[in-house]
Amino acid sequence: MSRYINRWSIHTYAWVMSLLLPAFVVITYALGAEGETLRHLKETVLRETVLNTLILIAGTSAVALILGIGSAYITTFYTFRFEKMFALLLAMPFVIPAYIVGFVYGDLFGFFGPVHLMLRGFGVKGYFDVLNFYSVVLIMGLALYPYIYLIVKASFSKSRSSLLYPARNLGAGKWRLFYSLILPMSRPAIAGALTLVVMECISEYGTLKYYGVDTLSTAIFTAWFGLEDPQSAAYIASIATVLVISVLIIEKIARSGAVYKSEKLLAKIPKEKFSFVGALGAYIFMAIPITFGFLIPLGWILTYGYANISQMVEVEYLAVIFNTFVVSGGSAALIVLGALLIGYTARNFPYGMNRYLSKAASFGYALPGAVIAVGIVIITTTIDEYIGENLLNGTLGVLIFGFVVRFSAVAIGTVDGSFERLGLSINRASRSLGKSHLSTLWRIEIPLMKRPLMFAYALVFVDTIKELPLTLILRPFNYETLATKTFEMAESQMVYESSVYALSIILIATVPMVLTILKSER
Amino acid sequence: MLKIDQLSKQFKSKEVLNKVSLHVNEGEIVSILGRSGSGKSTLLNLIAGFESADGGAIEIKGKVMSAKGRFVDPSERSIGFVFQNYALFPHLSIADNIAFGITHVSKKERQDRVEKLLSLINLDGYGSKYPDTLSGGEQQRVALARVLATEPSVILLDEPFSNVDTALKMSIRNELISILRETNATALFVTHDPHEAMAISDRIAYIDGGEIVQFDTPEALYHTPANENVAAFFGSINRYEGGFVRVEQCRLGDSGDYVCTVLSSIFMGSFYITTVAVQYNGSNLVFVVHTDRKYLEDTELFLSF
Repeated sequence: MSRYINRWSIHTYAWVMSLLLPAFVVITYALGAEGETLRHLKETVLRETVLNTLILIAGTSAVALILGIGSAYITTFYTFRFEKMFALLLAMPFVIPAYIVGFVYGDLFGFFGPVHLMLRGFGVKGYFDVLNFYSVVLIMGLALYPYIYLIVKASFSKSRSSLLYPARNLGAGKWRLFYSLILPMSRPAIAGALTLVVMECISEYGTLKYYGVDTLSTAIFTAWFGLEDPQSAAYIASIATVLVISVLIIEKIARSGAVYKSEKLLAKIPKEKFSFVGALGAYIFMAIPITFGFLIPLGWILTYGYANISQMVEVEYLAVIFNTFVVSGGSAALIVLGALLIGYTARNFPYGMNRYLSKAASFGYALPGAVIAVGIVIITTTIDEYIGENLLNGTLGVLIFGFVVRFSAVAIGTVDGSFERLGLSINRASRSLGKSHLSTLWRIEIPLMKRPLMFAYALVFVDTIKELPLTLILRPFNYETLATKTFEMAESQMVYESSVYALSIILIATVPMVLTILKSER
Repeated sequence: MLKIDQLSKQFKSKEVLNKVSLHVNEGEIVSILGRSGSGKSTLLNLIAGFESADGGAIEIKGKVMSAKGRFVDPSERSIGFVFQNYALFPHLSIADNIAFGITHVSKKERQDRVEKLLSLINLDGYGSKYPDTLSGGEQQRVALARVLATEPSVILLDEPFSNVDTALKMSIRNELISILRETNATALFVTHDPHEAMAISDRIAYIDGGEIVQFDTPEALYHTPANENVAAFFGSINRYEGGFVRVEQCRLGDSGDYVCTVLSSIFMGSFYITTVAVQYNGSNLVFVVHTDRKYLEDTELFLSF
């Protein structure tokens, strides 16, 4: 074998190609779409769903930006009582998937929910319907602002006194300093974080279904399960894909030309103290997302979860936990292995296209779960039809493959980073001492990367547990995971009973969240 | 032993090595000397097989390692590489680090070899320690022992002393060389320090712009440099029309070849740096001379070289 084409690169290319296949299939399949339903789709539903998706993106982004940047600014540049606790609490909504927040508020403000009961108790008549688009935007904003908060806070904390003091000296006020210096310097970080928020909006299914808002993601389900029309589903999925690619291009433009050197050696800016009024305002500002995005949903889930705790010893619950751990554990293991393969090849054979392998393999993360699922079902159906028996469709392997396509990016980032920190010479030392690539990876690099690998595993594990739409489409018949069980119970008016499952998701999701925060504080 | 023929390498259409040829004999210690970016580290990486050449051939002990259509994996080249940062495996003990490359022998023999090497590098009893508990010099000796354990045909050392304190450099260097001499190893050093190259090598290959300009003994490079650049690399020179002369080969006195005027005289400890203006073949030149006393400005003297 030559130096350029070897076992490593062949395996890696095969792996990355298979990760890209679903998106490719969706687009080609959609190009050939025609027929009655599709025309109907184009004339009626599509316009509305695209418009709804765009409004959802705009609204959620606005809410998430205000909450995220505001709290990042307060916690980076000011010192106040319970500073650390607030910094942690502000990140916590991250552990509650948006659809669970949605169910909670749906119940709280429902006709028989505590809010209306209380209002009626006070003699207030009438019914305030909160199951509408505005609520969805607020809920999504509350669930997704931690992306902005965490990423922008990391960027803000890199601003150094050498940059800000001269501006201060020149008479720039705090406000001016913020919008003319701090904010532009964090533009790449904001663009990156906002892109994640937008992707989540395009991908969201559970909340929207529950609140009856039609977007591209829910329309895929309608076409798939309601109309049983895979071609229309693929067509909608391809529109979502185009939207995602446009967002990625906009992000690239927004980030470009803004490379600021991080000046590690220079002094950090000392944090300032608030005036009394300022402190009051800051506490109120931070209390809003913490209360509505975390404390209220958590309180609700704890209350009902505790009331239903006896479910936890029932066979049904244990089966769901078992299923979830099998599918998420297996997917996470495969994803981390794949990331190792890609990372190793890209680093040790940095020729030609190999440099773009990580990027290509990460594309699935940008795609909505439903899009990937539709692409995969088209592939598996084609294969099953070709061999004349049902070999792939509705099997666990296909669901796991779906997770691998969707969440590989999460591990790739971590694994690539730790390969880079390890440096080349340790690998070369082992190789020149007569060890093969595989033996070097196994004996030297994996042991040295144990912590980041475990961290990547935990991150992926949690992401797969939370993922709803992809699981709904790809799971084997009657195969229930924590996400599908929570969603289905909540949908069929068993929202209290679902709390045990929701609580389980949150508990599992909290582990890597806490690990991340501990890691960043070290 | 090590034969490099017409070796070429490009990075993004920039020629890093241009038809480099070099023959190293068994038991010989050779330095590859050059400024940063001259291509010396690339040459080492090509020999080790960490990178692949665009043209030319590499032969070790009569076996072709790299040529057109042929590329032998680094793990099969029988090469020992000592890295600038030592690259010890931090999760393995010193003994396990040294034993890492030893294969196809019994456990007992392996242990014996490790013990022998530990004593060779004067680190008896250090086997169970871990790399991060060792000093820089000790780590480097372990890196060398790890390489020697595999009995490689050639040992390559990439700037092995650049991470060592100047104060300790000399003793660490001497230790390393004596171990290499003791084991009769064939070694190729990369360095940018001419004094280091002169101190350790049998021969020096001076590399500049991806080409080997001169490959000879340290004395030859110093006394009969191939060109002005080589000469200047080994010490300050005075340039004149049609030639150059080393600063330390110039003399000032009451009699001599050329009349000159003192411009300045600076105390440097063991000597003075005296700058003079001199008329040479009708042109005005400035020469630097090392003197053992201070001269007053505008003193008229004679320069000879």
